[in-house]
Amino acid sequence: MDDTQIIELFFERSDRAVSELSAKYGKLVFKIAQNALHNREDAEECVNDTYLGVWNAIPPKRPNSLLAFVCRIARNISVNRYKRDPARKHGAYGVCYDELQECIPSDETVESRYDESELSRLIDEFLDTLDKKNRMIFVRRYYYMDSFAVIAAAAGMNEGAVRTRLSRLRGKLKDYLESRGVDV
Amino acid sequence: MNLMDAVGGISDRHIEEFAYISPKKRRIEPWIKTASAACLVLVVAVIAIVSYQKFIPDNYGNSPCVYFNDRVYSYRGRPYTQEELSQMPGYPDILVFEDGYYELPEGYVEVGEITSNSYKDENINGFGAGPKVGEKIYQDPEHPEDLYVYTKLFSNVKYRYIQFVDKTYKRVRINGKTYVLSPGSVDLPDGYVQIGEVTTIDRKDRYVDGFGQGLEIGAKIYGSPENLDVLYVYTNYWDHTYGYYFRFVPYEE
Repeated sequence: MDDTQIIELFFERSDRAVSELSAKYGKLVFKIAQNALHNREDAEECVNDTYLGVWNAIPPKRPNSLLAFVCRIARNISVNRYKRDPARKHGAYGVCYDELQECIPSDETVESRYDESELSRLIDEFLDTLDKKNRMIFVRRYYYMDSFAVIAAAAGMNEGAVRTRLSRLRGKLKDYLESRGVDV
Repeated sequence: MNLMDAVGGISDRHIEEFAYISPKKRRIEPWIKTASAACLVLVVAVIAIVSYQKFIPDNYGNSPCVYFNDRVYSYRGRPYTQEELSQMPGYPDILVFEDGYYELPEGYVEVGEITSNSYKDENINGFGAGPKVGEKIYQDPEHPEDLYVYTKLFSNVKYRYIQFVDKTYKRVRINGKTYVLSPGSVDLPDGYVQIGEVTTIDRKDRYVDGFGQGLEIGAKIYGSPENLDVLYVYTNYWDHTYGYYFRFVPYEE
């Protein structure tokens, strides 16, 4: 079933809406939650809450990209879950967070001058400066929170090379943010 | 605010571009192919002799039956819809939906149990099936606008007290005054100007509907000089790219 049809099911408040969504994007949603949390039980709950979030959001929303819309909700829920439970921080979110923090000296500096949406836009622009392979490596690591092993397999590289590449990409991001006036 | 959270706001095209990846095929040397073929023959022979393995399918995402409707059930002739209790920035003291209410809020007493459910949920997992027959209903006799059902609901793991709010009471408090949500719009109607922003949202208000989770401290409020009662609040609601003007009219007792 294509995305337009699935969205219409949500607008019709059909019983099939969530089942169709689950059939099409369930594994992707679970993957995001599992990557963030490294806990199957928590990930499954996040998946359920993602479906609820989509149900509550559509309507009135009619997303242009259902895939991206679902991923956003899944990631937000998973990240919020990670942040809320300090005792169970085994997921990739914390590791990725520490990696990216290399790009800025302190949250206070970034927070005081740029809001999150502006930073998102700058990161978007940064991604456009990268070739496809580097962009894939960055997005899979910091948006989807994949392991180095998974990224290495997709990129046809070994894990060490992926780590090195990500280190360079973080350096490039830092330079890019500085060039755009973000005080780092 | 941090860069990991900012990465969460990248555009749809970047999210879509790499949503699905697969291992890249690598060139295999001829001698490796030959040795692999020989090993494969040996392995197949061993497997055939020793045992067979039962493939246990990952049943995640293959729930045999999912039924979902916002009118989860009707109680005493009134439709109730499940309300989400999600933690948002600014509401640190509110239990989150994922953990649910493990304790029944004060003032609620058992008033009955689910006697029928329109969903075919007899033996399937709890996802999306709504409350099950026999699960207990709790209500505050002095405030019948909402009630709780002790159920697993969307999770196959934990029982929680899930709140249901009478659909005729879609209320939310904005800066201390009660409003009712009505259909909004993508664009701000003519004549409306910003008149302020959301400074307080009382999540302890038992009548706050699930929409209340979408409002944020600082969300901009728009009003019209000709009708100061009707408000529009602009919020991104869940993500960083989609905005919507939600319309509120005063709630009248």
